[in-house]
Amino acid sequence: MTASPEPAGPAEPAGPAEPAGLAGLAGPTGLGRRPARPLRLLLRRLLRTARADVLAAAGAVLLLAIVACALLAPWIAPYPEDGGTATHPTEALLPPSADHWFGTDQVGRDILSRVLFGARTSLFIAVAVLGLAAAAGVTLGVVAGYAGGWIRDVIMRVTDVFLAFPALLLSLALAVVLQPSVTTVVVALAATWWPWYARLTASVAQSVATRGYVDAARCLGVPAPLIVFRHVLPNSATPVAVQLSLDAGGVILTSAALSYLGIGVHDPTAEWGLMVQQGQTLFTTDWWVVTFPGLAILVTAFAFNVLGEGLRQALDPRGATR
Amino acid sequence: MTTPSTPPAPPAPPVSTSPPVLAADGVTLAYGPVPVVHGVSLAVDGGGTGLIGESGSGKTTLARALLGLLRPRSGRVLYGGADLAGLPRRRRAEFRAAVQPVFQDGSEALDPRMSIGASIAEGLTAHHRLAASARRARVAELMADVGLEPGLATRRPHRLSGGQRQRAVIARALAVRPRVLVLDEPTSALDVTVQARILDLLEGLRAGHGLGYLLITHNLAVVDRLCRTSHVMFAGRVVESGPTGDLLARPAHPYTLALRDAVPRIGGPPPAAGGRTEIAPAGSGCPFRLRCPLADDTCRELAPDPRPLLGRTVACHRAEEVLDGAVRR
Repeated sequence: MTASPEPAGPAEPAGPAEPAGLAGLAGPTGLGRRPARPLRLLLRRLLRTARADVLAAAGAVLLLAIVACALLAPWIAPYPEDGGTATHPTEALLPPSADHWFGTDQVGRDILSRVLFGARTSLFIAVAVLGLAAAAGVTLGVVAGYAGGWIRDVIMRVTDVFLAFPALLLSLALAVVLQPSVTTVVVALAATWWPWYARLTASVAQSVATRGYVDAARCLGVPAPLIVFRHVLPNSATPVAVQLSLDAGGVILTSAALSYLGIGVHDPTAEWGLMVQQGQTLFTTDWWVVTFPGLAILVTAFAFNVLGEGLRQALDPRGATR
Repeated sequence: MTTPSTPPAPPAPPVSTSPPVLAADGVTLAYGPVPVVHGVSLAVDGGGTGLIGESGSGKTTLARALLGLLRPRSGRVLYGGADLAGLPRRRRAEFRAAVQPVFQDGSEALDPRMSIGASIAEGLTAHHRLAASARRARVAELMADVGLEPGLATRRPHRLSGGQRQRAVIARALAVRPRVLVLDEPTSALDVTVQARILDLLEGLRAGHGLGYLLITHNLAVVDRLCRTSHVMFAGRVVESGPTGDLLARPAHPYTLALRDAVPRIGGPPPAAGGRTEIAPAGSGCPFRLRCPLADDTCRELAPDPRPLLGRTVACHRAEEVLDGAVRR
C-alpha cells in the first residue's frame, strides 16, 4: 500500500537488517491479530485522512460536538429542568432573546435546553436502531454469504420479504401495535433497517469466502464458525461500517418522522421530530419553535453523512492508494 | 501405421505397493450444469505430480476437489486408497492435515488483517491445543524452515515482498505436518529470480519433510524440476500423461508440443503466434481438433480415447506422427 509511511517490505529473501527486525525478535512475537501500535497507526491514518478530506473532518468534529452536547446536556443546558416535565405557562412562546437564545415553546420551556436534551434521545435512537439492525443483519448476512446454497437462499428470501414492505409503513404498523415510546421507535426502525445490512453483508461475505485464506483455513481444518468469525467477519466489516455512518442520519430523520406523525416519542420527552411536529402550526407566527429543532436534525444528519462518505473513501483499499 | 523408431521407454517410476496418499479416480467436476473436468484420474506420490495446462483447462478446479473443497459430480477422490466422501470422522480430520494447499499470489492467500505469525499459527491450534509459548516457538521454527526472519511475524502481508508472502503461505501449510502439498501456480506471481529461490525451497522441503507434490502450472520448467510424472490437461481432460522428462523431450500430443514450444527461450525462435484458441464442442470428435495442425476426418468424427504409448498415456489419433516430428513450427 503506497499510503503506508514506512517503506515496503525488503526484497526477497532477506529480512530487515534494521532494528525493527531485532525489536520484533525481542518483543512479543506477532501472534496477535493487530500490529504492535494500533492506536498510533489509526491516529496517524485518521489525521492523514482529515487533511485530505476537510468535509469529512468537519463532519466528525460536528458529530463530536453533538455527542458532547447530548452527554453534557444536564450541565450545559441553561434551564435543565425544561428538558423534562417542567412548564412555565407565563413564559410561553417568547422569541429568541438573551435569556432564551432559541426562544420558548407553547408551555414556556427553553427551546435551547430541549434541543440539547433532544440530542440524547435522537442519538440514543440512532445508536440503538443501528446496533440492533447491524447485529441481526450482519449475523444473518455473514452466515448466508459464507454458507451459500440453500442456507443463503432461505435467509435472503426472508430478507427480501422484509424489504418488500415500505420501511416507513412497516415502522408505522409496528409503532401502532406497540405503545408509543422510545423503545417502540427503536424496535420499529430496527425491523425495517436490518434487511439492508443482511444484503450488504451477504454480498461482501460471499466474495470474501472465495479468497485463498478462507480456503486455506478450511483445508487446515478450522471449524466453520471460527472461519466466519476470524476471517469472513473482519474482512467484510469495512463496507458495513461505512453504511452505518451513512444510515445514522437517515435513522434520525425517520425517527423524527415517526414522532412527527405522533406515534413515536411523546411529551414531555425532548425529541427533535416531536418538537417540529408540535411547533408546525405556529410556524408563521412563532418560527423559532419549529426552526431550531429542525436545524438540529439537519445538522446531525449532515454530519453523519459527510463522515460516512469520508469513511468510505478512506477505507476503500483502492481509494487509499490515491 | 508404422511403429515409431524411438528408443525404448525409460524405466517407469518405482511402483509402491501401498496406495498413493492422494488420488483422483475418474473425477468429473461441474459448476452448475456445465462440466469443467471430465473423468480425470491421477495419483500424487513422493515423486511429484505435475498438472499442466492453459487457463481454463480445469486444473484449479481439479485441485479444489483433491483438497476436499469441491465435491465431484462423479468419480472419487481417494485419500490413502479410501473414498474421501465416505471417510469416517477421525480419518477425515487426518486428511484435513495431510493435504494442504499452497495457492498462487500470496496476498490473497493470506488474510490481510492478520499478522504473518498469526496466519502461520492458524493450523497449529486447529488440530490440538498448544500453549502460547510452544506456539510461538513452533511458528519461529516454521519461519526458519521456509527462510523467513522471525521478526517478520508481526507484520501484515502487505508489508512483505511477494516471495516472502509465498514463503509464509508454505509455512502455514507445513504447520500441520502434511504429506501432500497441492501447489497451485506457486511461483507465477513472482519474478524469475524469486521463482528460482522458491523452487529451491520446495525441493529442499520435499526431502526434509517427506512431502508429495501436486504441482499445477502452465510453466513447464517448474514441472520439470519438481515432478517425476506429469499430466497435460486440455478442456477438462487429461490428453497426455507420463514421465515428465519424456513428455517434454518428445511430446506425443500436439497440445503438449504446443505448450512446450510456447515457452520463449533466449536465443531461440519467437513462440508461435498462437493461432486459434477455440475448444471444439463436446461430443463430436477431438476437443483439440480446431487448433491441431494434424486434424483430419477421423479427428473430426471420433474423440480419441487415452491409450498407452511408449510408457505414457496419450489421447490422440495421430500421436505416433507427433512423436516422429510431423508437426513443425
